[in-house]
Amino acid sequence: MSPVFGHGRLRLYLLKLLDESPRHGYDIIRQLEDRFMGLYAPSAGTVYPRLQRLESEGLVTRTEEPDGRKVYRITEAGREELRQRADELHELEEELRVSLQDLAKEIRNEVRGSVRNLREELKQAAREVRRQQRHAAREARSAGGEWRELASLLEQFRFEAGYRAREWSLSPEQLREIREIVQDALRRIQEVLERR
Amino acid sequence: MSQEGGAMTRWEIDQPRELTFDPVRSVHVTVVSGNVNVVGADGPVRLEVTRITAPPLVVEQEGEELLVAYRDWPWRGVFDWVGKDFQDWSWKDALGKLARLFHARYQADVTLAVPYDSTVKVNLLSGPVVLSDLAGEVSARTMSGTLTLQSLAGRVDAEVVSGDIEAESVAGDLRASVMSGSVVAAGCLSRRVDARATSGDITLDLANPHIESVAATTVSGEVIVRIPRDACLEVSATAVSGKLASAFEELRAERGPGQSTLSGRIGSVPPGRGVPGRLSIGITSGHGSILRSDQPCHGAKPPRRTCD
Repeated sequence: MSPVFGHGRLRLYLLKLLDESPRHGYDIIRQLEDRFMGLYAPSAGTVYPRLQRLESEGLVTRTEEPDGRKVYRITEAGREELRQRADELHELEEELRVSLQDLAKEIRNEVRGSVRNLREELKQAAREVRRQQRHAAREARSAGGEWRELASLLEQFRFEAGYRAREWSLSPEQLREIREIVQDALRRIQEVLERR
Repeated sequence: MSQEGGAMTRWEIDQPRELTFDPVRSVHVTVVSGNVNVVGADGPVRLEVTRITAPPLVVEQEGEELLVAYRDWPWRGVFDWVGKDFQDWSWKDALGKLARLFHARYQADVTLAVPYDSTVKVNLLSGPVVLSDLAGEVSARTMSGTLTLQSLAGRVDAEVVSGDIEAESVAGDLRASVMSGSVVAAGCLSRRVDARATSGDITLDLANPHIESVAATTVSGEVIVRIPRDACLEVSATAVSGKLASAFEELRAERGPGQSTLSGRIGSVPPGRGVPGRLSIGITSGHGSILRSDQPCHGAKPPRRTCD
């Protein structure tokens, strides 16, 4: 949320709301929420101290109704401050006219910005991966292509075996058996290699 | 402007104005051309019509449903056709063009603020659509224009004939199809994604390691999918003409006579989880890449609201 209410502007807006009509504190908070489309929801802890301050400066008065609720009214001094700051108020109101449509436009631009950045970044990364792959393929062709193939076979085996082993819980006997199979496989691979 | 029970209230809008309604659970907007935006927000339902040319728009509230449309618009049926998931895009395109030609004067910019969990349906012949901050099921179709999806937690069904789909922080199942234009999903937390383009690129930045199924197909265009490094996926990618590349060594590349394929398994199934997810990529003409993101979940922010 952008700071719509920097530099004493909330104070100005409170005076404006009370200039429209006397209001309860709760009503003031609701009015603020409504006018900012729920985009700005000031808390009681923000509004009440400011009202107290306005009261102590003599810009508003507070009276208590029979039901105990407090009603705030603007005084002549308050109206005078409003008149003096009319330009500022006008400017503030213009800014606050951020409509829902403007908000939606902002969302659109924000999303557009981030998806376009992402697209560029990923396109770049994809080019890099293709380049590396070309490079690797060339290397494999020139030397040790067979070795790479073997390596990928082994990798595949490792994944497959690992995956299955995780899927089933192994007993010590099974583990021993598998160890024997793997050792046997190693021995036989050795034989194949020595035949050459 | 409130009403009791299931009574229907209606407004005719023939000039820019704002309206406030009692809470609704479902919103359906069908207009011809202009901007349509629906955002989730606190407070009452608000409708803002910032631009309108004759004829007037009709707004109806019946119980928890809100409808925004033209009355007696003879082409309303077009959307029913479009909605039937017609695979024949050229039909849609032709219908859209025809309808636009006849209805150039039906223009309205409509923006709605609705409760987060509303179900939203938007149909538009031409113009951009923004859907943001919603947790209910949403569906949006525009014949021409950009579809912007942000921070959506429910199921999303998006279709554009000519234009882009730009999504950020979508977490519900996502179905996105375009005829001519691109699909980009940034920080996508969805478990199921189905992205299709006829002519255009598909870029998916997946941020949820628990992917169930992701499919990206394009006839002509580049497909890039970035997946979290801790994902476990059964991959199958094919390209008829174009190169397939991946940052994962465990994938097997094969170059057959008619097409290249890339397949295998990425990652391993974490204990206690049944099966790996599926990633399938299909390209007729164009490159395909599967990238790995360095962070397990790179900066994806979840939607601000979720269904529960």
